[in-house]
Amino acid sequence: MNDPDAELMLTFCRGQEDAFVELYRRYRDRIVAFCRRIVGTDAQAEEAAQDVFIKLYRARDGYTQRSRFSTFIYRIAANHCLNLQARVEHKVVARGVDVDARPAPNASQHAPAPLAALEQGELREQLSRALATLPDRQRTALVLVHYEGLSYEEAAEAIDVTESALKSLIHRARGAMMEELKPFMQGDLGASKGARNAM
Amino acid sequence: MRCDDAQSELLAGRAPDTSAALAAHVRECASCQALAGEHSALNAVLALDEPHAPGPGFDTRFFARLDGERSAAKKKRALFSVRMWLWALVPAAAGVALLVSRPGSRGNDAATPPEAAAPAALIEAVAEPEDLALLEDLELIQDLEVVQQLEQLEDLDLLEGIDGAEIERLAAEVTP
Repeated sequence: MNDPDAELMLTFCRGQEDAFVELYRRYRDRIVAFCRRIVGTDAQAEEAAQDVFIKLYRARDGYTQRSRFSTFIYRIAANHCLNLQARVEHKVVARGVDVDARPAPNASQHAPAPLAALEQGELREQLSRALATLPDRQRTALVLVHYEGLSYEEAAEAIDVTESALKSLIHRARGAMMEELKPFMQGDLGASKGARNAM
Repeated sequence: MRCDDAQSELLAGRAPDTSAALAAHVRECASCQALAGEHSALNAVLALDEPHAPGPGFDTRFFARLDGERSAAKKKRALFSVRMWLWALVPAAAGVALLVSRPGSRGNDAATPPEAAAPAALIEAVAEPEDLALLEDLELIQDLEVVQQLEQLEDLDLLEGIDGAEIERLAAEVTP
């Protein structure tokens, strides 16, 4: 399998630390963005992303190239974020707080949009909220495939499910998103249908 | 391609243009075409979510953590080699103890009871400067284990999990 990132990891395993720095440089933004879509706040996401790279650093003694390197690192990231989320939910439940009543983990932390905000801004806000309401595994599956561009096979490996289970998670996630975003979707659909009719 | 297969692919988010068979089916099937339209609209909305970029100071914080990790890894490797050394010494020490405990094996000291000779021989065996350094390392390992246990005591998550009645029972056990 020709995978330059896996080659870099193997170089790092042979003791060349520069190779690790290069991997960090290549994956930093993607892992931060991935973590942000799964865990609570910007700060928590950055902390989680750093944890992922520290885990990658520690993995050098036991690394063997079984799949693409991107699948390997997203597997570390997905496991880490899902564990963090499970811990948060466990604490919230243990303290007698309704899990569904806590602030949406991925909801924007910014102040409400100003009056002059564009419709697209509102849509983004709504999208962020809709993503946050998805169960963790559905959100992780959707993010891996839709935003991180992993194939079904790679995403299934990253979250340790079969390919058909992954498709089912994405199917349910997309159904829920469709329901949440219906008002915006209809507008969008109308516009696209209008555009098709005009052609 | 049948409708079931096409719908399964579309519901899982696959765009029709990623597969020739799917694209051909969607062109000819009105219901799958409608479904494909809905899902491409959803894809367009999903594309509006912009990725979060690392904040300022992210790299500085990470490389500081990495430095800590590197020195911890070095310490761990050093401790591991000391432990290996100690394990290698066990059979050697046992062999020495066996040799010196055999009656008559120490010439003029033949009168010395074997049970008294063995500890003396062991002390002699480790009296070399490098062995003393090894003993210091052993003490260091023990110290680190104590520190680790203290850290566990400070782990609030762990303390949260301890039942109050359990604490009272343990206190009663240790109180004379």
